[in-house]
Amino acid sequence: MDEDQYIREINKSTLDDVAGAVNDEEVGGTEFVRSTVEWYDNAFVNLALFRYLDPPGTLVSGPVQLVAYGAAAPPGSTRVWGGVVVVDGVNQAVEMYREGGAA
Amino acid sequence: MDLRLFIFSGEHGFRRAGQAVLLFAGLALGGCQTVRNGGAPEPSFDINTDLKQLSEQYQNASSIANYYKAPGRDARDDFVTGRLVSMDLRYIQFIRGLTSEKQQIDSATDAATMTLNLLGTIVGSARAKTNLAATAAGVGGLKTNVDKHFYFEKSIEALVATMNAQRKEVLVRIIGGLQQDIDAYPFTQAVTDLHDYYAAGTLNGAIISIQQQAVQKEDDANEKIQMVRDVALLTPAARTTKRQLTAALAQPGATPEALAKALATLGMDAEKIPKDARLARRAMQNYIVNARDPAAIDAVQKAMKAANIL
Repeated sequence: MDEDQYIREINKSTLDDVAGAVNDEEVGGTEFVRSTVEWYDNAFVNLALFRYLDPPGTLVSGPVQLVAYGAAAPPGSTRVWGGVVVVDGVNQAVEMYREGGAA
Repeated sequence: MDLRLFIFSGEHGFRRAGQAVLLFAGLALGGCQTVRNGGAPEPSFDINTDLKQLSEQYQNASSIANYYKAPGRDARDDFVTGRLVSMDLRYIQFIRGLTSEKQQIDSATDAATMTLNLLGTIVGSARAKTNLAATAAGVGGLKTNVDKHFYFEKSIEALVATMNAQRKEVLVRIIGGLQQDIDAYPFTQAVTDLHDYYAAGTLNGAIISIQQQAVQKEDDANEKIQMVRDVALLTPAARTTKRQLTAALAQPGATPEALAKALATLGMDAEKIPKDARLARRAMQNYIVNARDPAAIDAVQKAMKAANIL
C-alpha cells in the first residue's frame, strides 16, 4: 500500500449504501481504488482502498454507483471497477460506475 | 426432503430428474467425501454416474486435446464454458453436502446462474447459448427445499463463505478474459484461471486463504491499525459540506498561514504544522477526510471559517 493510500472498512446492507459509503469517503478528496473481501475481526468485511488525490482540494468527477456484474451501465457513467463485495453478509459480483467520467 | 437435480439431456436441453436418488446418495455421503477428498470437491472431470450426461455434453469441448485440434477463440470459449458449468454444478453439490446455510447455497447458485447467463451473452455458438440458458434456469432450482442436518455448521460457514468469495474473484477474472480475443486472453491463461477457480472452491484453499490473511494481517499490523472502521452514512447536507471543505483547499484563501491557524485550532502541535503550502493543505485534508460524522465536520468547518479559508 502506497503512502498516499489507506483502507476503509465498508459493511452495509444494500449496494446503494456501499456506494454511498464510497461517495462519503471521496468527498474528502480521495478516490476509490478497489475493494477486497477479507476475514477481519471474525467477520467477512469489505476493505476498500482509497488514494489521496493530488493536489489537495481535487475532487472526483462525480459519485459512484454499484450494479450487479453484467447489468446495464447507468446512463452517462464510466465503469471504474469490477469485483466482489459483501452486502448484508452475502458476497456479490458487482461493477462500479462513476457519473461523468473515470475520475 | 425434496432434493432435485437437473441434468442435461441431449444437445439442446436438460430434463428434471425428479426425486434424484443419486444426488440424495451423494449428499448423504457428503461428510465422508469431504474426508476422503481432503476437504475438496471431487475434481470436475472425475466422472460419476450421477453426472454422466452432463459430462458427455461437455466432455469434448472441455478437453485440452480437443482445443488444439482447432485452436482459437471459439475453441477457448467452448473449453472454458464446459469447465465452468461443470465446476459450478459440482461445487453446489459439494457445498450442499457441507452446509445447510441457505444464504451460502443461494450465493453459490446465484454465482452459477450469473456464470451461465454471462457466458450465454459472450460465447459465440448457438448450441452453447441454448445449453447455457437451459442450465441457468435449472440451477435456480437447486436453491429450493434445503433441509439438511447441520454438519460442522458454524466453523464450516466461514470456509464456505471464503470459497464463495474466492470463486467469484476468479470468475470475474475469467469472464473478463473471455471478453477479450485469444491474444489478450490466451488459452494457457484460461487453463490457469480454471485451475484457480477449482482451487478456490476447496476447503483446503479456503483454509490457506484464511491463514494467509492472518499472516498478512500481522505483517500489515501498522496499516490495519490505521484502517478506518465502518461508520454510518453521512446525510446529504453533511456530504455537501465536506465536499465544500475539500474544494476550499484549492482556493487562494488556503495559504500556509491560514492553514496553520486552522490546524492549530484543530489541535495540531505547533511544531508539526507544515510550512510548505502543499503539505499544509494535505495536513488540513487529513482532518477533512477523517471527519466522518456531523460533529467532526462541523468542527473542521468552524476552524476553516475562523481562519478565513472558507
